[in-house]
Amino acid sequence: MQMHPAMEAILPKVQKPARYTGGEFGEILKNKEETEVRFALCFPDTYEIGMSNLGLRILYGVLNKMPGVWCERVFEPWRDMTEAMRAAGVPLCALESGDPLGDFDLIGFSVGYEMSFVGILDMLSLAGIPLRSRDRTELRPIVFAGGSCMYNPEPIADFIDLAVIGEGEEVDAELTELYRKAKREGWTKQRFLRAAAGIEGVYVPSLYDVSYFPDGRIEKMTPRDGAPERVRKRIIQDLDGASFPVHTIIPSTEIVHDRTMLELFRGCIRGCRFCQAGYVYRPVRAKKADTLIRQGIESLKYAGYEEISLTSLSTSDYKELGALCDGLLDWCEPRSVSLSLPSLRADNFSLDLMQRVQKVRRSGLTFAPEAGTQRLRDVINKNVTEEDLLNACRTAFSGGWSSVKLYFMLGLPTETDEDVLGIADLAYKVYQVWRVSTPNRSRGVRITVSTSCFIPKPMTPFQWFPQDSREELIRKQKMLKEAMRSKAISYSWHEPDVSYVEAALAVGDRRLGKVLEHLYELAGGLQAWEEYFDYEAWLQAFRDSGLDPDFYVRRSRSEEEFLPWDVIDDGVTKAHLIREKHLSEEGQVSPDCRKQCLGCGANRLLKGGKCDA
Amino acid sequence: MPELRFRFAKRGRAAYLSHLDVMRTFQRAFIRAGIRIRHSEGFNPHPKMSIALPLQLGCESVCELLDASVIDGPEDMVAALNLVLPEGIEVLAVGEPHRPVREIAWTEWSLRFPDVPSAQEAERVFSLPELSVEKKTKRGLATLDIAPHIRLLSREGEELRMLLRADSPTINAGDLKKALTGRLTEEMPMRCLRLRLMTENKESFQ
Repeated sequence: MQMHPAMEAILPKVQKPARYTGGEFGEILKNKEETEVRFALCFPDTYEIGMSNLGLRILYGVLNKMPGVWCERVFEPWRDMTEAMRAAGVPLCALESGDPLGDFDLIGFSVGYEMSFVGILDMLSLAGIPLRSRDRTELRPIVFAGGSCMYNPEPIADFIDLAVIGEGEEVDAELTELYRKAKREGWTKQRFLRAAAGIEGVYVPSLYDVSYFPDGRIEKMTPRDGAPERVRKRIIQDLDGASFPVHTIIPSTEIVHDRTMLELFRGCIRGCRFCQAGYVYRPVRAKKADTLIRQGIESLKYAGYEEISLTSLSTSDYKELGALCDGLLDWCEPRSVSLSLPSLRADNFSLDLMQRVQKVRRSGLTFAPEAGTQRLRDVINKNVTEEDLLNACRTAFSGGWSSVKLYFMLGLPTETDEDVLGIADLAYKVYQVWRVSTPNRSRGVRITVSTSCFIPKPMTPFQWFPQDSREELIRKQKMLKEAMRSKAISYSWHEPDVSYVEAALAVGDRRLGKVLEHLYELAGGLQAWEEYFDYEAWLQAFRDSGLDPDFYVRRSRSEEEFLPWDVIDDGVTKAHLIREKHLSEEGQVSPDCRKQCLGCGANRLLKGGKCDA
Repeated sequence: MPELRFRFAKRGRAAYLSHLDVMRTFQRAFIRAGIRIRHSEGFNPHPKMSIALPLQLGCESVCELLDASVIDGPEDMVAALNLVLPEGIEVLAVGEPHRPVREIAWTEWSLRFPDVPSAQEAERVFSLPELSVEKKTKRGLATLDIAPHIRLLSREGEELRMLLRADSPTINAGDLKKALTGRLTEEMPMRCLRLRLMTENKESFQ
């Protein structure tokens, strides 16, 4: 590691300097001279957020296993650091080698949140790398992006040379091999991009011409130079055999998820109609409990963590959950290592399991009914009843729990005031359940209700719906706040300003490139952070770019409309999404995938075509 | 097994780890190395260990002390720990503590400046008969004359050797930096390395 000489003067003056130094246990160092391809794995948000991302750790492990390839990490600095670096003329550097980002061959961003799009510009700018793909004419560097936001890569199409669609373990490696060949043979950037477009799961935006109707809708996107009509996402066929980062980096400084993370399965059997993750990660593929127990124990031994978290979209849907918890607890309990189970569902919640799991340290409980009335829960296909929720709470309260968090969404399609007030009713019913079922009323209870704002997301049955207006969302929040009747219930909500911008970015097209670049000039990076999110600047950036955010956010899209992400194929057919949309409009639910296959189409991505729901 | 005292160095990139970061790092390194630490009783048990005289962020040291209540561990704990610690943190020795940490009265420092004239400037400032700096106390900001609590031992080239009072009042490298600020025309980078802990009689404390 050769830190930039000016860093010594900067580091003592910024907040949490350990974020910028690297050198953690588990970091991978290689010899530069023996490295053929230098890969910068970038995360357009802070170190604490990025290091909590399991996907990033998986890719770091996979890429560094490749001989001749050195994958290093780069994060977005906090504002004080950005300013200090600019003042001292220090470019953005990688944590492992301390070399400037501009020295790297492949610069890959992992993007899981639309609000961090601007972080990509912040990082490129701080590295002195031209922001726009067309202004980078050489083979080095190739700038690309992957992650869940790349199911609609169009808003950042101007900045990236390519996008990786789906799970990156295999395709990132293939891309790196192709780059190695291109570098050896001295290809042009154009030649590399055309060849990359031939890898399944790689989308090269510059190979698509977009035409628009006079009213601003997209007419069509036409591929050139042999690029595919649609780019199909990549998945890992066998998760048991896939690389899992047992020996991963253990930060010395505190991060958000400071614990061992174990991924039980990918995909979700539920089909909540607003949920992008529930669709784009299909088909369901589970790891065997034996594999997980082995990897969990090995990870804990290596890390020295005292907590392990079972992460998946809906942990309690894991078929072998009992056996897995038994196996892990046998090892964890005598060593005071605690096991945490986020994302439980109220309809299959087991007190027995929770009590066994939380013997070491007990945390609060969280449920996400998402909507306040059965009618609206049916519209969104949440498939959780009031009875399920109250039963789960009764069980928990009588078992000694005294705090529960309830998550809801405001502004869901077809929502009425009755649905909004239903949230307050439901919270009050939970409170009453506590009164009759708690063994110790004097301890009190904490019921926390949180509402976020509905955001139409690509690849979901709700992708065609508009978002409520800002005024309407604020009115609903006020109404709900006034309807909360007990001091035991506290209410917090997401700011509709952020959700409005997030919606525009989620369903936007490549014309947003101008907006993003201008916003960056006006307000800088870190837009996912309250401290730096600047709503007025966003409105101005749209205005100055001649675009109306309402066109994206407040407009009902017709089912026939060509959507910016129609060039991407996540395996689920549009026919299935339309069917689900119609059912939602009729207030009809669909069974979960385990009860009955609905023929969404994602099973075609699997060899043999059989889904493991 | 009784209370054990680990002496360790904190150098290079590790200088930017905070006191809490170092605690967390050791807590995990002990687990990795198979060294079991006694935990406190209660609702939220934590391992019984403490680090004497927390070092300021950005300073290096070759004389850090960590006391821990060890249940058991491998034969060679120093080697086992050094295999699993992050870059820059190195355990130098382990043994039973002979005297309590409160007997530490002085710390010896090496202060490195970019060039000889800067070091001469600093030497002049640190030799002033009175040296008031603003210091945070429990009751808010207060002005303290640190001159009686620091000793200039030597200057060799761009390096100064100094003794700083460890206890009542505790003088740290940050106070020296503050003393330089305002008394010099421009800001001067200073690399601070803590070399030795000493008792009131200036004997080495380990």
